Amino acid sequence: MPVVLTSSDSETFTVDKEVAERSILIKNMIEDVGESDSPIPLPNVSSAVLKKVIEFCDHHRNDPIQVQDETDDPRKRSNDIEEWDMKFMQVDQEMLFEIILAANYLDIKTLLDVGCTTVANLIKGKTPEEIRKLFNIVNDFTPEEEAQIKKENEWAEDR
Amino acid sequence: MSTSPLLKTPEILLLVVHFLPQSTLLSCTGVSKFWYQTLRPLAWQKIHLGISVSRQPALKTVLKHKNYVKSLHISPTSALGCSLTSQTWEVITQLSEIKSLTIHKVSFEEDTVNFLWDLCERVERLDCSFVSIAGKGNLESRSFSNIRKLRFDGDLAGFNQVHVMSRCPNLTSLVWPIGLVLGEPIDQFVQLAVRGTWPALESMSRAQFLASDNDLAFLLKSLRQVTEWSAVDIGPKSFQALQGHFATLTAVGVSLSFSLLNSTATAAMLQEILTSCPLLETLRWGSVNADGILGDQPWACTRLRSLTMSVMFGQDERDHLQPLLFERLSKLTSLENLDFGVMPIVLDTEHPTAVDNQISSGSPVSIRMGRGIEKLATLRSLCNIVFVGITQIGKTDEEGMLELWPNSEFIVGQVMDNENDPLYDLGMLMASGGVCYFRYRLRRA
Repeated sequence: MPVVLTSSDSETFTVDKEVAERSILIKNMIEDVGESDSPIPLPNVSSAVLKKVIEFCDHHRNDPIQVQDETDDPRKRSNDIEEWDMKFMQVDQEMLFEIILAANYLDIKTLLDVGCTTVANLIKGKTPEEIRKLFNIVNDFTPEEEAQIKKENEWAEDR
Repeated sequence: MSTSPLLKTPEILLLVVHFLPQSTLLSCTGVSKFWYQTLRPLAWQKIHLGISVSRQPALKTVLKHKNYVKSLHISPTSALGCSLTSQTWEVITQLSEIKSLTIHKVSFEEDTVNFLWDLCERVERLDCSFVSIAGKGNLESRSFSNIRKLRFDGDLAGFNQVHVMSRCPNLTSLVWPIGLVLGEPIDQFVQLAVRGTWPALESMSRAQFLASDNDLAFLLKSLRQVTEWSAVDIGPKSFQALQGHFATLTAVGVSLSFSLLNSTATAAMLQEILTSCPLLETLRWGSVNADGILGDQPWACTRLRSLTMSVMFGQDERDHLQPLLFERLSKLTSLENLDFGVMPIVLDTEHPTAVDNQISSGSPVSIRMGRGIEKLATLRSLCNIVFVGITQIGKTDEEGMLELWPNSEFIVGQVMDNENDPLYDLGMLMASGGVCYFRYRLRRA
């Protein structure tokens, strides 16, 4: 049975149940409420973002569901992203962060991982100045504060 | 373009940097005041001391961020080990939020050992390997009631590790792989366990230590609940005690080292584990004859993710038993790792037949196409496959395996010397008795 989702800007999307249930939030909602024709409101997700999220869930509809790993061991995390996912993530920064936020809210672990890994790969190995440039962040440290932080962290710099 | 408002949300920023190594995390703290405040706790959560001064934070810096340090790792770069200066210990003592401590190759003297006990009083997780402890300090007056998980590996100086264990009343998990001091400590441990010293202990690993069947049985009976059990061998008494924990066991490992000539583990025990432990996720066993584990009762361990066992077939048994084995395995759809083990190598040249008696003179699993392996197509999560005894594996087999297990990452096996086909990305592991053992990774187009 299909599921109807309503975005924050009141657009409705009809998707297969198995696609919608990639979102643990929606899955739990359906389980709690039972089968129903009434649309599920998603007040935190705009239609542009929801469209992307549905595209992702549809592509991954047959993947095994990832279980939350309790160990949370960063070594287990892979920085490899599948080619399809990489292309999927080629969006502007604003959309990228919106997708991450939506994935977090909707509880879609694979999408959250792919989104965060994409941003993490952008940041990796960069200096603070390069990171500021990347995200247009204003440096609000005094030169003394900045020098102090740099000195404290010198030992960890990649050499 | 202005900064995305989302990067100004601590929640999102933390999600994103969660994937980054510490060096980049520290860089991130230098981006802006908001990033500094948000990321400081994460960037300083783990620190590593004992390595060269230029590769670790200055003590002054550690003190500044001391309230964020939750996990401390002390290990030297040199193989010789290290002992820390008392200044370093003074700083470590001030890490009041520490929850996890890992120490490797560090020596403690009578005058520094109390620093270690101070830390033990605070941490929930203690991992000691090759730590040398000379003198007890004031251990007798301590209680390590926060410690839940303890690993004690490799004793260098003959310090009785049970003295530390006996001070951890809330222990839930103990990994104690090697005890170079034979006899007394394990006896003491069993006595303490029977007396109820560790009422919450449920996970116990003694993978490389020989203890008597009686001792292990006592130990298993004294534990309220066992979820993980591993030992070198298992005898009739300890097996009987283990049966009481079948409902809760998630991991069982019986090493059955091949040098262990008089192993008491039997195929019947393995079969009972396979048919009676519904929560089992990891199972490691030595060699076993296929006909001993293929009784009528179905295998109950459908949650198994990792299975290691050297299945052997008796003479002329493989043709009819192998399809039955694969039929059983095909139901274990959670399997990610399937390891048919390594070929036993006879190390004891004076009694070469002794090992043969243990493992039967039969043949190992063959994963050539057309021998029933197609049944394993149901194992969609399988990514590591280790097999032995393939004498002739051809292009069809390779292609067949890639098709069977689309998620497979490693397929490891051996081929006979004369089958050294340049088609495979082969790397020689070892040569023994005219047979070359090869490990290769199947290449994908």
